Amino acid sequence: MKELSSTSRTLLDAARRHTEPTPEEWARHRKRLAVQLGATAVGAATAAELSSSANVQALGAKAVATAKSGVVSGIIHGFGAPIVGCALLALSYVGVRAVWNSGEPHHAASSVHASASPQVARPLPSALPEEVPASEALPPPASSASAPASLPVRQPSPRQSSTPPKPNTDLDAELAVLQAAGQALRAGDPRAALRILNTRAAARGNFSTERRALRIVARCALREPGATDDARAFLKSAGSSPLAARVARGCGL
Amino acid sequence: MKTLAVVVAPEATSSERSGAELSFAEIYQQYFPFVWRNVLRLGIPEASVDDVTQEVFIIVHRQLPMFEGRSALRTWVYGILWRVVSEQRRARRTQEAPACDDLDALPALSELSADGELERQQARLLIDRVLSMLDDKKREVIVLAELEQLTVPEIAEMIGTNLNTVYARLRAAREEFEQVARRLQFRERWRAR
Repeated sequence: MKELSSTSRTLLDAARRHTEPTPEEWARHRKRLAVQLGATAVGAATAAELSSSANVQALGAKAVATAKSGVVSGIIHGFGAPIVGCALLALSYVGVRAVWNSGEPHHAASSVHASASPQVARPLPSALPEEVPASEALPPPASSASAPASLPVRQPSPRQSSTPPKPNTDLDAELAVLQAAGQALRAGDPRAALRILNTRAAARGNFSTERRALRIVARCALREPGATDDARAFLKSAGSSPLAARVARGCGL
Repeated sequence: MKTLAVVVAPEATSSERSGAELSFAEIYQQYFPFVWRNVLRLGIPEASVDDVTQEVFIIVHRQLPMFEGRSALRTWVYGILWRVVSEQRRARRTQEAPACDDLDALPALSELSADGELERQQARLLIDRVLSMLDDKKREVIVLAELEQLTVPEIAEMIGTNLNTVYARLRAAREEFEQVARRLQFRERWRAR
């Protein structure tokens, strides 16, 4: 697969860095979640656990140890009385239910839900052996049966593909036209700039704002009728554009 | 009361297991950053990220007793995340006007290197606008591949599709992302003049 440009890398690096939650955001969320879970009988113990920052720190250390230790598997110790399942159902609230009840078949998430919901409705055995294999205790989920029961180990991202991507010829052509038009304007030849902007390559739509601005500046330089009105309209609709000042200057506004 | 637990290491003995169970609080501690940042990266406005993250963890809490460990825990959590995010995005699209794709009003690339609160907000805005120019599926794979640094097989498992589809989607996503980046670069050059 084609390597990304330095600009793309800059964007992606910034995205990784700036989209991590800050400690303040984490603390705020933990508090909110503790309040939410504390509102239900079942969630009370968890809420207490979450709201204790010291406990959470300890849990954090254990979670790290957990991640390092590698494999996580679902093992059923057994179930309590069926009332536990009923109490868990009580935790669902309208918003959550609305999300889960509407269908979204294309994604794995729906299979998670699809496999989980019938199990909620099914009466749970009150006295299972202390350690029962998951396959014996519950039916397999609809789609994830072949998925490995382990925490994924992070590996380097793939950087290769079987077919090379197509070059962005349209974009390159449009950029070249805009640059040539800008050079013609700077050289004091607005007519040439307009000719360049009227080529087919310039007609593609990636840089419509830039194209429009250059055209207006060129027409103002040629004192074409209506050019000043178009400049005003540009400044009104794209006043935040970095080209706004140039349009205003070029059209004497 | 007996418990349903996610246990670390299948070879763990019974006594070790009790100390190694992943309770909801532990899962929250381990996966909160993963959920929060991907809710943001997948297009939920920053002001709503807390709410959506909360919704994800409420569902995790509710569904945890039914988690069988047949898929990776991260895959399971991500499935819930995707579902909630998709619903939110769908609701927002019907209520809100589509965002303008004008990049001119966005912060400069040079601001991405700073670390202040304002810069972080500006950077998040810019990144969201860039990613929003991709459709949802391409956005998802580029987030998982380039930001989460997952391999294609891992992504295929997480989103429940085959390897070739992920490769094709990722290739297309990178091309589109590259185009947007070039537009930004071009804009920077204009601003510098």
